[in-house]
Amino acid sequence: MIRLVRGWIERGRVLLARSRFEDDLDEELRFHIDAATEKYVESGMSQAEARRAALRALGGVEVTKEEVRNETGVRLLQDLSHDLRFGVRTLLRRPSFTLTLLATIGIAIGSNAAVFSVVYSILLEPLPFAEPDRIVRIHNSYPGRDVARAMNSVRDFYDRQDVDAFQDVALYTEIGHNVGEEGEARRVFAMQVTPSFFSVFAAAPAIGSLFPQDLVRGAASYAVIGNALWRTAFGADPGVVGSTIILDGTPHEVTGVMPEGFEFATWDAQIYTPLVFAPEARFAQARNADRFHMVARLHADASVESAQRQLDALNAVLVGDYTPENRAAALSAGFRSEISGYLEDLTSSIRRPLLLLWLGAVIVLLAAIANVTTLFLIRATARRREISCRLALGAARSRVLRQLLTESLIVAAIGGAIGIALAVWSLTFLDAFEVYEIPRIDRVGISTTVVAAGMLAALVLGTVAALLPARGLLWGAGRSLGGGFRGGVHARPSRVHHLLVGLQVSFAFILVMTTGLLVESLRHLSAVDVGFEPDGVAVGATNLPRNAYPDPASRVAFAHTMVEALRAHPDVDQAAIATQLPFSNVENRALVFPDGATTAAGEGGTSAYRTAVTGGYFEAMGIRLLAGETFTRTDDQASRGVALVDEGLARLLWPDVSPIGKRIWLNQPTGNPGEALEVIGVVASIRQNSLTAPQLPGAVYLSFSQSTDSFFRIVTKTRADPAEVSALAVEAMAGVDPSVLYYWVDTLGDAVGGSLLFLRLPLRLLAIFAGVSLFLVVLGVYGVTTHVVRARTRELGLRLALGGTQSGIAGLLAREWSAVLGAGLGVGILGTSIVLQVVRSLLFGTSGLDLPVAGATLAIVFTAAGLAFFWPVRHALRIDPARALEVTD
Amino acid sequence: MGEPKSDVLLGTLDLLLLKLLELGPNHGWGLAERLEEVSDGVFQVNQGSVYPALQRLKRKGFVKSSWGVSENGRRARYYELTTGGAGALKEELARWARTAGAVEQVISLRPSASEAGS
Repeated sequence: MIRLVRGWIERGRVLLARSRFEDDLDEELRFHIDAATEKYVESGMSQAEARRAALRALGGVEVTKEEVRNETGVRLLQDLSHDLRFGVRTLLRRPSFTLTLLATIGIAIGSNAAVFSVVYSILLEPLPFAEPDRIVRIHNSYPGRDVARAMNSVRDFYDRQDVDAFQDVALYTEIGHNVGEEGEARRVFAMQVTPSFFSVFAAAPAIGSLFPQDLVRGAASYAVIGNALWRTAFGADPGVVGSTIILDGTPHEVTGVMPEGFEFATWDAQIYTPLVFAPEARFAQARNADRFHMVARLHADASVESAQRQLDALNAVLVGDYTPENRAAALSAGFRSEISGYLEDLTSSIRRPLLLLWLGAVIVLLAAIANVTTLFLIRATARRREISCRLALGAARSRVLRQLLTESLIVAAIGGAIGIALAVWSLTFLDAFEVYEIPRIDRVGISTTVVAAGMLAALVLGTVAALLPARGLLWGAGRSLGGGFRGGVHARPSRVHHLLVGLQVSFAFILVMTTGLLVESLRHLSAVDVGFEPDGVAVGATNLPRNAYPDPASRVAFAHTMVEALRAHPDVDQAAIATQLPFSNVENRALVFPDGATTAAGEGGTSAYRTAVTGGYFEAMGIRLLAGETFTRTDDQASRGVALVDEGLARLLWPDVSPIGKRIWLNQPTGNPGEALEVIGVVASIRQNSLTAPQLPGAVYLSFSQSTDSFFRIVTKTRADPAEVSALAVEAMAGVDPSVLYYWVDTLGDAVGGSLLFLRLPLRLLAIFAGVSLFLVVLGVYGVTTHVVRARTRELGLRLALGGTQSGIAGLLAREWSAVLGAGLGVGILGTSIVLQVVRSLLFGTSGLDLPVAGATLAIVFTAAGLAFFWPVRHALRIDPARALEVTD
Repeated sequence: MGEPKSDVLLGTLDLLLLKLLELGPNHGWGLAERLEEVSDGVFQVNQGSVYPALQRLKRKGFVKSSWGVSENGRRARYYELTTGGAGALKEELARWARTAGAVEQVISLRPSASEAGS
């Protein structure tokens, strides 16, 4: 290897210092001849005789020089530079051919480089933690209650520490803090974590330490801060360790700063506070209080599967120890705990869309290879004479092959570079796709690996495209020197042409059909009635500092002042408060137990979406009130508890009678009248978090005055632009209390639309890919047809002269194509059914075997191919038969 | 292009040059002279073929060249064995010994002896 490199260095040196090399060689040989002459003179020859003898002994100066030059290995480079210049000239002579090639290769490489960069950064790149494959996520699942992914309880945390496969188990919650003194606080993402959290992620602080060992619930407060916050808010001052920061008005001692790179994709926590449980919490906490995320680190020799088996066994034992009621409830809910790899879990929602995109990009690449090869084949036939001539004049086959290869590699290299540039450029548009919700999307970039792989792919493509035509040119070309294509025999598109164009048709069919299915799904989803009116609704969130707003009454007072301040604005129709909003990716549910319903043993109550709202909420959201009334300000802590239910819950609990006036209990069927809620109204059901997932039935609405929280959302219905109203809300908030922050600013329309990102993102890009593949079909068919009619001009002219009609001759040519198209479409349908395996879970309201979509796809591909066929044919048939017969080439 | 015009046994010129250079740095003329001298005129070496061979050895990194002053006070290009070249020489010599031995065995076979022995 070293020797090889050294050889090339020597070659390069010779090439760069060409004149120096020649001078040295001259001098060396001159010395040789002089020395030899001298020797012969000494032996008695005359000067002239001696010199002739010396030259003879050497074997000729020029011959020797040439042989030395050959031995430098520079010859190859000289040929290469000649080939390069010749190749560039040849390509420049045919600008449309060259541009088409460059565009095709550029788009194919560009789309693949861009999509692969996204796929790699999101799905494949290991997480920035030590041995990330050992980190897993665990969630409880209650399929029997339609809750596929619930969180975990404190008891789960203690119980699962016994699972052998787990090295560490941790709980955490995602929270937010107002950091700093009141009035100048900033909102920062945070996590409350059990101390084991850091060992699960195998992380140690960059400076300082983690939480103290003997944490006691309710004792001193500690915080570990993230590197980004440390740099932005504390100027990277190491003295921050041991100092005190204010979180939501409460002082916390900073014990340490985490290193750079310790960050979480979906929740950019910059503050970690300890999650401590009282020892009795293990038993006091209700098992169904699933409030925490759970992560674990597996032992080095454990696998997700072995951990899952152990956890299943543990759950079986624990459920066996439940009270009969709880056991029946757990069984009827299909309770199970699922373990999945942390990265896999993180990217679960975007995995399929990205795989689909990847598949789409690969198909575009294959179509491009087919297309470029077709173009080179056509080009090669046109150059048959030139090549034959060169071969006949004694050019070595290898030399001509090298020339052809150089030419296609030039195109491939430039095309590849264009592709990489396209990829870099296109990734700057990621933001336009509203992708901010995709985990790790901010990491996406073109790496050197992608650049190298992209260029390599381009060069491979170039080699394939050059070699296939070269075979026929170099070894079948001898006979074509004389005749050209006079008889038109050589000009019939070969089976290879047909195969390649047929493949392009298949690829286009697959992409157009898949795009069509996604469009169809989106159409169905747009027609889904969400049950509320997202237009003109601005939303935001706030978190009231606990020390300034310690009791429910103060929070309620703030909320009502805020709502009134907003309502006072002429552009605002309605404003309201809610503890959770639809399409915000949170789903708090409660178990509802109706009065009088015979609660059979193990009957677990009815799960319902739970949110606490102020009276104007239904009007602001455009949720129809079907019966009864909504909340008023007098529904406060002092008065009787009231609730509204949605149609779905009403139908479940009281199928035959009016729910108005019925009493319900939440979470525990205590039957205690003091804890009962009276149903005062019924509202329409709404979509809670997803347009696609099956709707969980039931929602219960509580009065915010009676069931308050320091964290809540603010909803503003406006007739103006909701984005402007958000500014208004920030202003109103500052007017009420400048120390309170207003954040998570969004419009409800965007939140609902954002839930379709998993469909919109692949749809938009696939549509582009489908367009590209159609364009390639057009190019392929057009190129081959043009080539055919040009080469068969004489034959066509003859047919016309002998009385053939234009349409008749066009039909004749078309017949050759119909088989190709038919086969291509057949393969396309087959390919689509394979792609559907990846796509099916993304489809909505269509099975995949969608006849209208398939029909439309057929029509589109046929039309594109047909136009590309008839255009050159029509052009050719206009030719004067007399002139056509004179054409020789 | 064209074939190297050497009557030296095909492929052995490189070996011979390496061996000569092992004795010490020398210029092309000197090497050509020594070659004729040492081989006692058995090899009808075309002197010119020394130069392409030296260039080949140089490209392979077996020799390096530098300008020096010859015995008669002229500027001359001297070639010198590199460590890589010394290693290559050792390998080549071993291979040569094996080949020569094998050739020797084959050509010393006597037809009658092999028949009589069976």
